[in-house]
Amino acid sequence: MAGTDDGSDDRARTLEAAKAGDLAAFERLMRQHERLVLATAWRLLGNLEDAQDAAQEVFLKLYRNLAKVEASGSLTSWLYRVTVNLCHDHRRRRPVTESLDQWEGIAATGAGPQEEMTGAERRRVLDLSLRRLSKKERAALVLRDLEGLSTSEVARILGSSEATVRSQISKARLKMKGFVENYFRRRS
Amino acid sequence: MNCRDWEERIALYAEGDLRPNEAAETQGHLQDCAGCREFAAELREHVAWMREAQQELPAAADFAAVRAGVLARLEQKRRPVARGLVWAGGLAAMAALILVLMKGPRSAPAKPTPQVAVARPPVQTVETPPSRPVRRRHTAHTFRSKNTPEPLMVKLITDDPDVVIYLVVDSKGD
Repeated sequence: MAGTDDGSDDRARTLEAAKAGDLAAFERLMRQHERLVLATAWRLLGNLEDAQDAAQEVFLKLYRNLAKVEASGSLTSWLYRVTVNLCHDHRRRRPVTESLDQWEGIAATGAGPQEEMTGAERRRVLDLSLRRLSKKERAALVLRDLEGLSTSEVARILGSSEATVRSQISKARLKMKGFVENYFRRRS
Repeated sequence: MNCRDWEERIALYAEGDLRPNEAAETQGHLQDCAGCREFAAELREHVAWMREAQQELPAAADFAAVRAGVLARLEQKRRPVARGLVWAGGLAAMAALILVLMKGPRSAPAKPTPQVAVARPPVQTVETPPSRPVRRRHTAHTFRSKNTPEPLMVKLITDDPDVVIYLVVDSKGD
């Protein structure tokens, strides 16, 4: 079959070379998927440094499991699943302590209403709100609303039924809306 | 079913996550309820706000740091293997050297075994006095007094049938 325009042949070649122990090929493989891994870990952990640690673990696990990954089909789904699981492990090892001071810290910056917040402030409010969700709700919301996956894809990645994932997404959206609104009410 | 009960469904309806039959039911309620329509609009805005807030990606240096960290750890894992190979090579060379040293004298051309001709004297029928019994003790004593004591020799047999190690210790223990 002739090469395709979407670069899937190139990706397949890169994967094969990486499996053969070619570190340069493995670095290319990381570049192809680093946005997915690091951005998802950052959203799940709310801290870039922790997310970088988790992303390194994901890629090391990928290196150890290159043969299995190919057999299991979608590398993207595998990476999402491993990223979510390793972020859960990371959270378990280093639990985040949530305090009102963190919310007050943002309020003290003196930003105006929701629309006038800077990107960094919005990001901080969202991170703090995400931390208040259960780990399953957070994973479902991040994959569906922030990564833009379908409900069925999220269910497959999380190993849950679609009905369970829909319920988690619904509860997470309502809680997040409540947290953010509450934050802005307190500020005003 | 009051409006509170519709909230979870509306949270899914807002982003198209309901099954068709549930979506139709929710749409029917929204047509009749201004409060829930407003709630659905707020939810859409909220999800859009979340997506916008999360658009920021880590910097290129942050991605590079992850890659560098992974590659460094992979290199580190490979290094012990290389070190092991160097050690194995060194040990093999040492073992080969020992073998050569130990085998060296044996591999030298063997000297021809001297031919010993045994000449039997003609049998004589001369009467000889009766022989005296051999005084072994005396012989042994003589042997000890005339010669230095034999050194103690320990023979170590290795797994290799071609390699035998001898330890020789003299009477002084040297």
